[in-house]
Amino acid sequence: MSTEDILKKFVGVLEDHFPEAETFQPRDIALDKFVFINDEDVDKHDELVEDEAVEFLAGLEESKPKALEPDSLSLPVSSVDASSAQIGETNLGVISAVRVAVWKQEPGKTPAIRKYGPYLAHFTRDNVDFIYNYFRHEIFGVARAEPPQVYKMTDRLRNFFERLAQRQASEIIEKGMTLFDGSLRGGTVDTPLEVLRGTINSAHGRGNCVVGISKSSTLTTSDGQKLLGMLDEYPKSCYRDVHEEILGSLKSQILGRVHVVKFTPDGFTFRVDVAPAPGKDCDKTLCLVKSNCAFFGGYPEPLRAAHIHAYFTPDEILSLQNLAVKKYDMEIVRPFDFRRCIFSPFGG
Amino acid sequence: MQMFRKMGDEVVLIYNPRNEGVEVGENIKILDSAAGRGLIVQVIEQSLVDLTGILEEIVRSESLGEIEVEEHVSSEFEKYRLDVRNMKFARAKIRKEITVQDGQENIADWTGWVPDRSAEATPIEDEWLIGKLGIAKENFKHPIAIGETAYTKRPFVMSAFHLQGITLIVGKKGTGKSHVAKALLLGLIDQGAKGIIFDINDEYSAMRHSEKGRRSPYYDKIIPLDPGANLRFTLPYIGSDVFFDVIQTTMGLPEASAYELKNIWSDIEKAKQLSFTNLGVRATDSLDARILGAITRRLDRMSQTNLFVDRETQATTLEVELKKIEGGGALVINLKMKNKDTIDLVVQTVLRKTQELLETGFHPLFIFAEEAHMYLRETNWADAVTRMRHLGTYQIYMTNTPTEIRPLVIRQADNLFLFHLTEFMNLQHVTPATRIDPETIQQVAKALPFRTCLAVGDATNHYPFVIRTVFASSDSWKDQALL
Repeated sequence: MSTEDILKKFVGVLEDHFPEAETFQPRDIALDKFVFINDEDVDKHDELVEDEAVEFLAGLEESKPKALEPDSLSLPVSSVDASSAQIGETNLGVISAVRVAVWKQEPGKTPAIRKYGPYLAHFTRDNVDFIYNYFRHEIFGVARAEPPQVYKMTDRLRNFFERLAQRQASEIIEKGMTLFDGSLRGGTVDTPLEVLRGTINSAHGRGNCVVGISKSSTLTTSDGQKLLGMLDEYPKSCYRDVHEEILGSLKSQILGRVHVVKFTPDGFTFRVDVAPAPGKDCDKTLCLVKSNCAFFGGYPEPLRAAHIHAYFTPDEILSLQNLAVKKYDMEIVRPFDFRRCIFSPFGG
Repeated sequence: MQMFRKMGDEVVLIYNPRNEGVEVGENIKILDSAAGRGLIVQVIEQSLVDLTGILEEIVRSESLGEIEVEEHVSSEFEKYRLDVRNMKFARAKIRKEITVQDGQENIADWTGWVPDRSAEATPIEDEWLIGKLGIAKENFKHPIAIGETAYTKRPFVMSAFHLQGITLIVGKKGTGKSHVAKALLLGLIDQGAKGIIFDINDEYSAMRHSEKGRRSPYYDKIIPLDPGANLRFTLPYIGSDVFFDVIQTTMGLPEASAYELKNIWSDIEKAKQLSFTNLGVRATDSLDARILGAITRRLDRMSQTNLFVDRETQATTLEVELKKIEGGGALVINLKMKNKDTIDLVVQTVLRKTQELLETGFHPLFIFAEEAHMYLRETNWADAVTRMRHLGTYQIYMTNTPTEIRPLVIRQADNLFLFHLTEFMNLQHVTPATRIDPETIQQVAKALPFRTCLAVGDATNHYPFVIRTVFASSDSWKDQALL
């Protein structure tokens, strides 16, 4: 089964393992505020900090950044982003939704976006093991493992879908580049090293570079200096390869080279992990990113477009709640704020 | 449908248009069964619920320019997403309060009470509301059918009694004003009343015939009068007041010339020789050239109207014409394509004679005046709402420029039939005629389709109803007569 088939049909697996619940307490959503919903930032916050944190040797500030010049070569570009949201709790567990968006642009062609989902999943203590290991073992072919707690499964499911979509994004283009949202670090709490390696190998097999761009990376030296500000004083597009200065065993978990990059003179600085295609080097790959992407605040537009199509709006969450209630015939229990009930109006 | 919010005298109802619908002007009952109380509200505006997420989605799809989008999502989700995207709200005015006693629902004026959100909101059957307001057909001795309620399509009947005052029919051209005016006229005729129509477009006489050209039941009850043809007057009948009023006000005869002409009029009247011909001859014989020129030019203009005859046998009198419609009918005075002098002479003569007749105890008359601002003077408007109304001249004004109706008349109006109008000034001008909130007028008038009007006033017990001016099949001959 192709990666795309798995993405399309996995909804069936989730539906087959959607335990019948009696009550549903919908998540409280603000329909009157401008808000986007992606629980990844909340559910994974602590793990994200750990995954993206890299410590370096002291004294890095002495090396000079390289100018980032656009390359004249036009390439196909793909990118991926995913969102997850817990839409409510049942008497058995939690119901969540995930959606991934895969962006593809090719020279001379109209850009295209493929959206998979939203897919609903009902996680209970009885099915987390099946769903978690179905992904690990049946789809990614890695060893079974102890599943996480139920409340963590929303983000695990998002991560699995995102990894699948990354694999698909690397398969739908050739001799181009695939942009990931996040680092190229494997062996983390949610991403086995083999899974990420398989994706990168698949990309390289088609002549594609893989570039991981982290929005919330913590790069610090051993004496506590933050490195993302190191390019601020340079008023032009530039980058520094900081991979060799990484401390400890972490280097072996990163399937590419770590850079600090400012793609546009007035944009933000990002941690960028680069796994160049065979025959290309990191410098060339970064120049190709610069020349083949538009940027917004220094962030590549293909990743921004994927994000825009992936996140949930409050009305979508409401629609998903309605769908869940009707489809699975659950009785609605109104959200109850215990804190507010006992403390209001004094700090409730 | 559920009540979401109450603001002042308004409530906001949220509903899913896939499952239920409401229309502007429709009445909704919000009943709190546990409390035994409820509200009757009337929808004045409907709109889509504005959710910021929907704005995001629209901006998202519009701002990204030309991209190919391929979505793999369940059709069930699409259905629910569309439901949320298309949720609507209805803004409704609180009109009445319901109290339930021994299972019986009664309505009264609103006390300010509001139901809670668990109250059930359902559209009202108009027949029920009409009955509760005491304006059902069986309540009336002289019922006039003017159409049906717009939403639950129940016959809407008013009492001829409630037309004994001032009624305004306003709306854009072609929206159905004449249709309802004709319905009122035929209804009045059916009830034995008499009417005089200032027919600026020559359309009322056509009611004498059916669509197929055959005589309608009103053939003998509608008498067309064409000024200069079968509507001609002698000078004694017109009288010096009207004659000199027109020749001075409309035709601009100077005061000095009018004085001389009045002397001549007086002389030949005393000699019992008053006629239009004699007036002209005597003026030519006795006046000097300067004054004569001014008078003869105006007499020539009057002569060209062909309105004047010398012999009574050739003349028309209002009394004789009204006698012909003793059992109910209408005199239709055709003012189409008539010049200003003719219209002025005819209208002023008819109004003056009407007033004289009523002062002598004649039966009340209903005057239908279309685009009245084209021929009524300030004094006529003032007379209309003071003396004439109390004497028994009941007036129905039809216009597509309501700002031309004097505020005095608007404030004294007893009924309003409001057809589609969009101009703020027009709507603001007629609002005092309704004794209801201006928002209803502003919102509902813009949403009224063809031949549908908002009716409010004595005829509706001051409850605004949206009605379509069509007739039940049993009265289809009327409909044909109206075409």
